[in-house]
Amino acid sequence: MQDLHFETIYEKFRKPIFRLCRGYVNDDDLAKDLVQETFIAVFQQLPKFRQEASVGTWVYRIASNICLKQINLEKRMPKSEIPVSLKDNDTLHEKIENEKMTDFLYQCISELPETERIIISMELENVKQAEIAEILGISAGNVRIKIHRIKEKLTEKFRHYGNRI
Amino acid sequence: METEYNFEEIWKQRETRLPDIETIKSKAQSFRKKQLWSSVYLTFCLLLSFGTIIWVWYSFPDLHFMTKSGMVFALSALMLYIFQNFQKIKIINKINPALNNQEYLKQLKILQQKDLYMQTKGTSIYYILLSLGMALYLYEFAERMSVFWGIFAYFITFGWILFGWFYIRPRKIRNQQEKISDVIRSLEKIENEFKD
Repeated sequence: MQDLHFETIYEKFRKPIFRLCRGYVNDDDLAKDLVQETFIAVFQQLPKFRQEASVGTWVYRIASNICLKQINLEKRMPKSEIPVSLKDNDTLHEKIENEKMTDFLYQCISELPETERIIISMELENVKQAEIAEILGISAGNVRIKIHRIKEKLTEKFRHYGNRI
Repeated sequence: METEYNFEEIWKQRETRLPDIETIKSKAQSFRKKQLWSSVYLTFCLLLSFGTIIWVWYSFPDLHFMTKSGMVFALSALMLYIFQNFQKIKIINKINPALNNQEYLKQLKILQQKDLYMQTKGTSIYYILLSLGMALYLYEFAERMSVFWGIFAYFITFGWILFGWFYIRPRKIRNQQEKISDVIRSLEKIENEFKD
């Protein structure tokens, strides 16, 4: 039996949903607004939730729809500069400070096409691929292929990023 | 796919301060109240315009039929405008945010197409009603004027109507069309991403 208390849902999903929104818009304040909008919708829709899907799938569906709805956000979205001025160190992982690495990952994700941003965010939150397929309304096979391609793209960008510093 | 980078670990390092649960709950409540009040307000405006039409028709028996009809047409234009806004809010609220992404985007697209139709056709009907209202309303007063001033008054009125119809209305429609078409195009772009 799933725990359907709003408090429990908020506590469990607020951080993953923030990261999903943050990856989508690459801006802290905009992401917080989207998180707020998501949980307001969760709060309002909770009495109608019939448990046909897991509560996680349901919350992710609402959050991803709210992200996708921000159609013209792109124009307002601050595309922060990729941090390049890092000091020389012995190896790549030593060179790149954690925070900058995280910034770079979020920057890369926000530059992907909309659906890919959502897919990779959920993959990185360990959402099962079958659930991601259910949330998007596409086949699990398709999700697997897309995840593979996205990770290739990200790896390529990280390698390129490593070479630049 | 295994890579030399642990994206998951990097990803989860992002932290922030999020609002507490009480803030979310109170925002949800005030949002609901706001939605309710905007519906109440629009319904009130609709009823008020309708009430005014009835009141004008029965309270001024001495007014010319054309004058009364003019007022009714102008108020009908106002009612149409309020009704359109009301419908839009109702349709937006009907879309279930818990649908899967593809279905949700489809619903958003349908909503935008409906909006486009309502905005363009609605604007034309709005102008027709308003112009007709002005022309009819003026009749009784023009009749009391000399021929010259009567023609002059109608000339100015029709000049304004033609200016509205051929300049303001197409511009308004074009702006709305561009804005909504832009959103539809973006929705279609995302829809196509699902097909890849």
